[in-house]
Amino acid sequence: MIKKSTHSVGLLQLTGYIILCSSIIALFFTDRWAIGSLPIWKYFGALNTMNISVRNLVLFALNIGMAIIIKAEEKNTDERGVVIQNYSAKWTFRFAVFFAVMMGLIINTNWSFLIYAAVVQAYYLILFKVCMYRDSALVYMDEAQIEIYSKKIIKNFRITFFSQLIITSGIASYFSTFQHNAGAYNLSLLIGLAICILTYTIYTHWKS
Amino acid sequence: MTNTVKLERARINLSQQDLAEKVKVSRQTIHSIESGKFMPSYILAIKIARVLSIPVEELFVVEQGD
Repeated sequence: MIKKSTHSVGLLQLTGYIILCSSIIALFFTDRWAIGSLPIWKYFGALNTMNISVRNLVLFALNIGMAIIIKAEEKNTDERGVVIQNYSAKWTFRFAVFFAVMMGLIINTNWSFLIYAAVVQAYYLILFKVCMYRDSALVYMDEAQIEIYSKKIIKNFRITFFSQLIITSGIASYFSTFQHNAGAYNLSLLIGLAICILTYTIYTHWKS
Repeated sequence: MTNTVKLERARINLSQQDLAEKVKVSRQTIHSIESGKFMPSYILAIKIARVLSIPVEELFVVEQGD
């Protein structure tokens, strides 16, 4: 495997970041750009008939931007990068399944698959980057070694995990009680859980 | 498995970056190999051995426990 540090890869990555940042900024204005409010939408009649919202279009662009960044990262790598890719893909798959199960359990209302895809892609990208630049020892361990390592660090996790869980539940209760929004309770629990997982992923992989 | 990449590299006064460019991998990969974390592929091991002008079995030594 040859490292392809070319101009095209840099350009691809830049394009991805521009799309990603623009989409994130655009997400704040999607309410004002409802389908039909701008004259340009008349040229996209099919979107109107398919009932695709502007928010979904922006989220779609966000996912595309993230996919381009991942592609560029994967292109610009060597055989160690391939090992890290495989490791990240394995753990992202586990995270995706776990997150989907928790979503099914906790969330009662409709949940956008575009947001789910963005969360999973973001998790993969963060895990890949952290492992790549910190050269995490966990990447090169087999399942048995990871199990021994996780038993060692579980004690440190216990206190911080429970404190995070209490804070998350507190925020969720605040939303449900004071904001009179019962659905927000489940949503904040899920977001809290995702933040917990992300924090511990970064924490465990930070040690090189 | 242990390796003497760092020693051999120092012997011919080659930096990690120089070796990485010669075998077309990143500097971090050379660092990982030297620290014993990452086991290179057969092709990469041969490439490194060629650059360092040393037989591959002398550069990468298999220990009894491996």
